[in-house]
Amino acid sequence: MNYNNSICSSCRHEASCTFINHSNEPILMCEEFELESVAKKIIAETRVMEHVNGYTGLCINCENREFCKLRSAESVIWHCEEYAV
Amino acid sequence: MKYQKEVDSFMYDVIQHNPGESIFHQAVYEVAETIIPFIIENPKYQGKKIMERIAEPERVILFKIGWKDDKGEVQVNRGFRIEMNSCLGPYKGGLRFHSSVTLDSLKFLAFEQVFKNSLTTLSLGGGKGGSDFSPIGKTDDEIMRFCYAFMSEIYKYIGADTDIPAGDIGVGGREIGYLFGQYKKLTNQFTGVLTGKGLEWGGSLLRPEATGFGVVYFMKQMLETRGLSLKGKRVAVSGFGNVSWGAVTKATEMGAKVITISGPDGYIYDPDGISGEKIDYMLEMRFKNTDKVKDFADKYGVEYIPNKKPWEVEADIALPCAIQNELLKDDAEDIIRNNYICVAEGANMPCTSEAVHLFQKAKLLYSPGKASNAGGVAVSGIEMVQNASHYPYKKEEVDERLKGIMSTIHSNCIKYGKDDTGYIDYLKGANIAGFVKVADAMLDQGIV
Repeated sequence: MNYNNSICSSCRHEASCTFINHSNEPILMCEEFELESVAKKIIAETRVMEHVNGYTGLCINCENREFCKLRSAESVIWHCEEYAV
Repeated sequence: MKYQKEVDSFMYDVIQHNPGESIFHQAVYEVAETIIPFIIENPKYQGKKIMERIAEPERVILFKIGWKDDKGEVQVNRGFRIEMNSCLGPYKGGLRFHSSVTLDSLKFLAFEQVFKNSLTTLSLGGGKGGSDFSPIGKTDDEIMRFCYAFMSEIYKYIGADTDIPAGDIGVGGREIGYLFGQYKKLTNQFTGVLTGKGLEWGGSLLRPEATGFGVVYFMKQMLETRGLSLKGKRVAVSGFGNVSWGAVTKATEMGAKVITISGPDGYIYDPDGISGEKIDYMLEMRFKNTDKVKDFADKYGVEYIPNKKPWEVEADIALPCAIQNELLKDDAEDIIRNNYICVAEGANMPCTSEAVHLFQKAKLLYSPGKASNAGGVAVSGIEMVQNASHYPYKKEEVDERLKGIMSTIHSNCIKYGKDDTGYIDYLKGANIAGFVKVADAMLDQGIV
C-alpha cells in the first residue's frame, strides 16, 4: 500500500484495521477514519527508523559504536561531540 | 497538556504536508508544544499562521553530485541545502557529510537552527545542508574532488549576504578549505561565504573554544540568579571533545573544580580537579584518536570507571557535553539525589525530555543546549562580521563579544521563562525568546 499518501497512517485504528486492502492505491476516503493522537503517532514513527546493522543516525559508521556507553540504545543520534571516523 | 487539541490539529497538517518525514515531525512537535500555547495566549500572533509558515522551508535545493573516485569510477551522491528562514538575516547553518543524511534529517536540523540562531541576537537566518557522501575511507584527493563537485552545484544559491554554510559532522577545516577554494574559482570573489575557515584566510580566533566557553559564561549567570558563584564548585563534565575541552578550560580558569570527563568507554574521576597540563592532555588524546578516556586515568593515576556515566558522582554542576540523549531519567534522578544545583547543556539535546521534566519539577537550574551552547554559532556570526569588515578581531575582542551574547541570551531566557514563583524555566524561555524574534520579523515583513 502507498502508506505515506494514505490517510491510514494518521488513523488510530491503523494497527488493527481489517479494511485496509493490500493494493498499491492509497486510501483517501474511509468512514471509519479517526484521527490518532499526534503525539503518540510521532513517538511511534521515530522508532521506525532505518537501521544499519542495528545502528541508526550518526552511529551507523562511528568507530566508537560498538563500545560507546554515551548513547542510549533507544534513541536515534543526530548530534554528537564524540563522533569519530 | 493545555491546548493539546490545538497542538495536535497543527501537527496533523504538518504530518499530512510532509509525509514520511518522522524526524522533522518530532522536531516541529517539540517546538509546537511550547509555542502554540504562547500564540493562543498572545493575540498579536493569532490568525497569522506563523507556525505554519515557520515549519515550511523558504527553499529546498536538492541536487546531483557526480564525481570520480581515485579508480576513475563515477560516483553519484545527493546534495541538499535547506534554506529554512531568512527573516532575521541570511541563512546560516552547517553542512553535514554523512551516510545518514536525508531530506528529513536536514529539515529537522534546519528547523532547530532557526530558533538557535535567533537566540544569539545576531542577524542570522536558519538553514542546513549536506550530502549522503561519507568521507570514511576516502583519500584527500577524493574528498577534494567531492567538495569541488558539491560547490559547483551549490555556489549559485549561497553568498555572504544570502546563505553562509559552516562545517558540521564530516565537514571540518579541510573540507571548508576545499569548498571555499572552489567557490572562489567559480565566482572570483573572496568573501565570507563560509564560516569555520582557516585563521590565515578569514577564520575567527576562539572558534574552537567558543561553545565550551559560552556554556560556562551562561552557567555562571544561572548561578548568579541564586546568589551563587562558580568559585570552588565541583563540576561534572561528560565528553572529552571540543566542547568539553573548552568548558573544562574556562570553568577551571574561573575557579571551579572539574572532577570528571568521559568518553565512549566510561569516565574518569579526578577529585583534585582537571587543570594545567591535564587540560592540554585532553587535546592530545583527541589527536591520538584512541577515543578512550582511560588513557587519561593511566597517565595521571586517577580513578577510571568503565562503562558508566559521570552523573553518579557527587558534584554541584553537571555539564553534559557529549551526545544527544546521553542523560536519561535515571541519571537525572542521580543528579537530584546528589543535590546538584545546576545542569547546563553543552551538547545538543543531551538530556531526554523525561530527565528535563524531573529537573524542572525539582526546581533545579537547567538550561537547554539551544541557549547554553549557542557560543559556537555566536562566534560564527562574529566571523561573518570580521569578514564583512575585512578586519580580524583580537582574541580578547571575540571573547568580550561572546560574553555579551551569552549574557543577552540569558536575559532573554529570564524574560520569557520566569514564573510567578521566581523559578526560571530556561527551556520555555529559550523557545519563546527564539520564536518571538523570528515571528516579529515575519509580521513586520508581511506574508513571508
